[in-house]
Amino acid sequence: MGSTSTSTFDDQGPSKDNSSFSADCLELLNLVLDEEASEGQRKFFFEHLKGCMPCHEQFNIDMAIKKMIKERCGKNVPEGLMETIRAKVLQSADQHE
Amino acid sequence: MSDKSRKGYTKKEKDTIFESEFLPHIDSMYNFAYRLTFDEDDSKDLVQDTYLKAYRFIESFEQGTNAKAWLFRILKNSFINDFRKKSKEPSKVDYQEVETFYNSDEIDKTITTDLRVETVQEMIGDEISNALNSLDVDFRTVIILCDLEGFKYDEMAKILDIPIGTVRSRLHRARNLLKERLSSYAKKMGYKN
Repeated sequence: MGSTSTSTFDDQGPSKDNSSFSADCLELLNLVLDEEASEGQRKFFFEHLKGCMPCHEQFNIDMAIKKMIKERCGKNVPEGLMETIRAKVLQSADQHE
Repeated sequence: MSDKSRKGYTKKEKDTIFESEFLPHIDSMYNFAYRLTFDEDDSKDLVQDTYLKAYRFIESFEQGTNAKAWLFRILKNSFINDFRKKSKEPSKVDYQEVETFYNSDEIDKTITTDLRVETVQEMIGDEISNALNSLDVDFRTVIILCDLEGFKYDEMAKILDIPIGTVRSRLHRARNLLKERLSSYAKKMGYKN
């Protein structure tokens, strides 16, 4: 968690203002989003989401974007490239034998 | 280092590692190369070059460790050393500026609140893809590695040769920028925000 402890999370909480979040919230949100949070942090975060609409919305948007990237931004290798690479690598290996 | 890598691999072992641990990642490698170069021929060259290097330096690969991360690191280095120099890619972002941004209060103010989940879900792939491609290469890279390829922060740190804290701050900034781009796409396309 770096130098910032999430223990301040209870006290600070996200701001009531929709346009602003506490840095602790954002840090925790990203950790949960990327499955890097500890079990305790996850529990804490989801408990917090129940009472915090801005964080809840933000988390859902971030999740949706992450899912879209995973599903829509892939690209398959052009046909024949694997065979070309295999042949070149084996050829270079033979030369070095 | 294991006994195996100290002794070195036989030719047969090398070929097996190449075939079963390296080649299965070719789609991800090509996609990464394409998102870095935006050029099909450059991407092919970059992937081919990466595989040739991977085989040549296979002794430094320890079987059972993460082959995909190892390959991505080679590809990233090849891109920086061989391709970036000659590409028209804008110069690197100023990391100091990024870190300063992360440590400032400004970070709390950059969340786009006008983007809705439904809007994101209604977008077609091209919009997300174009928004991603419009980011500076260093920001684009962390999103690709994390969200598309599923690398963990520590793996990303090794691939990119940066501390984990920098991975996190760069990823955070990249996501904010991506949301800004998606939000302006949404406005342009007339989505209800």
